[in-house]
Amino acid sequence: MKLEIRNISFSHPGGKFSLKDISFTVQKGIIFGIGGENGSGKSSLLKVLFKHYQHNDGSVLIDGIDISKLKQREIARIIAYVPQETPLPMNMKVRDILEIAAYSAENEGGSIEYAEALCGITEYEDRDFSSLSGGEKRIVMFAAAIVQNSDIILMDEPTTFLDVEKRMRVLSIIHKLKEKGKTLIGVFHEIDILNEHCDSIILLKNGKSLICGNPKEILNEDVLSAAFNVTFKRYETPFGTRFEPVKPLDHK
Amino acid sequence: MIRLGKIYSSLNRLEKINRLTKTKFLILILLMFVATVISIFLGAVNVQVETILKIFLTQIPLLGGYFHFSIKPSSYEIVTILREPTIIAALFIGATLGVGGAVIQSIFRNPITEPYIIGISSGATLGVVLVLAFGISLFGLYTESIFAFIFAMAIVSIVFMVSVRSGKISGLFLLLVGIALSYFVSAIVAFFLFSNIKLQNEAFFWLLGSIGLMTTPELIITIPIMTIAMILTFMYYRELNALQMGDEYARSVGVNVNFSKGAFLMLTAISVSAAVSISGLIGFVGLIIPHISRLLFGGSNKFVIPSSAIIGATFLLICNDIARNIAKPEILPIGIVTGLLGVPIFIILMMKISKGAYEA
Repeated sequence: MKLEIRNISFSHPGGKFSLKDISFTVQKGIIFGIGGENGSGKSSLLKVLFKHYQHNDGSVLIDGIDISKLKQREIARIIAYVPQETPLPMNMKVRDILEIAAYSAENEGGSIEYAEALCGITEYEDRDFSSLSGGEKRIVMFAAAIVQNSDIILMDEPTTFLDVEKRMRVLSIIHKLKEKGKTLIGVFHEIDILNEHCDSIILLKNGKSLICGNPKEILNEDVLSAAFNVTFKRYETPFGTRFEPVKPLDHK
Repeated sequence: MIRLGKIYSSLNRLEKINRLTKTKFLILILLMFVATVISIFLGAVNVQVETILKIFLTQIPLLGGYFHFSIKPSSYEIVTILREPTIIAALFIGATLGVGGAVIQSIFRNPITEPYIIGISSGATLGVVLVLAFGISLFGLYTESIFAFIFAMAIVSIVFMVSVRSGKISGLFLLLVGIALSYFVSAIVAFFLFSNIKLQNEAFFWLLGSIGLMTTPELIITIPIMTIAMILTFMYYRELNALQMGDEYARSVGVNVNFSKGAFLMLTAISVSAAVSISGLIGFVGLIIPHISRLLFGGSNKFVIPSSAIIGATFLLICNDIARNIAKPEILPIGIVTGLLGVPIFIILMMKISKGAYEA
């Protein structure tokens, strides 16, 4: 499914604009990264995409259909969401969380076992969700998104605060999902992930689009400095191009 | 609109429940049944088992007319007018308070909330105190109950209207408005009580709750309200589960968050107000029973809603038996017993089986 974002503007009620005139297109079956400094509007943009936030102007089109015309349940059948902060429901087991995700899925709960196997969490489906580590919870939320069985999966900082092993597991799940034809749209803080793992990216600055395109073509020291207020050093490695942050721009 | 498919799919999902859970439910239902049977025999006057069985047979719908026994009128009245309505009331009110607690705790994602917190208790108390203070007898014997219901719903509605901001219901905001408005209404109640000593005595029993003198007309009106609310709540337990994950996540899985929250709050407000209108304020049940359910069955409302109903019903029935029999011929207000009996049970259960569930 193709996702088109056309001239989206959004402001919190009574607040200043979080997003202003953002436009981009996400083709089916790719990993799309959203980058930018804290407060640049990355998470707000994700939340506009599944109508948690109502945009003030512009439109979000899925295969040409405006999501503002769709019911929440219809949107959930197309778009799943892996939240940044893991919710902590009272005394729920892992399987309960996965059942919640099946709420709007057409084949109700049918893919729970599949999602558990894909994410490697079959052995702790009866564990209390609150007793899991932060990384395990994140992986469960990925499994939940798979259960939801939507074509597009939104991810809000899916790799933040994870140890190396969990981070690799999450990235592996993301790529497996891409292979299955899913479209993944994620907010990432790591330049490496934006550069190496994403097929297309957008960088936001103060709620506006700074640049959008193939990271291999658009990322350079100047673009990254403008986006993150940090000077970057570029160097080539056997594994590809790397960008190393050097110092903040206003650092004396 | 309620769809038959919804009922069918709710029942269909129950087939997938594991054996341990089914066993626990069977035990709870058995306990409720045993408590109900024992309650029939308890009371100031001793009624023979045989007499009670005969009375039951005459009460079977449609078939009862075929049984002709010689039953002492006094025994018949004790069982059918004094004991049965009280037992039925205890079962339904206990179930309603338990389910109401589970709903409110899920919506607010807060384990220390209960149905009264959205203004039901303060509103109902104001209604009753006004009836007592001004000697209102608009609806005869049922004036207190009707005023309690109307004022409870009025205060809940005000809390609700104030809390809807930009078309959205903020849980925390609603909670704070509910608590603040409850204090405000309680201050008005306190003013009336302060200005009239006689009123304090009359209101005292209502404030502690009592189901010792329940009448059949009261039950005929309130039981359908409580039953429908509980069935609807159970049918939509999946929305309630999603709401436990917070508005953002619930919306992402497809729940119409504002509508669901509003509908659940209104169902709870109507059913608990109906219960409170005939029983007075029975504390503790709505707060604690859902926790016992979660400790036994985990946090999914698929189990928490029905088990809260069964445990709440059984608990209130046992409390009512104690209230009626511990200081014969006096009947203690049931609120005293629910606190004295329930709190130690709850703390012991928490210590024994919580397994760190409340550590976070």
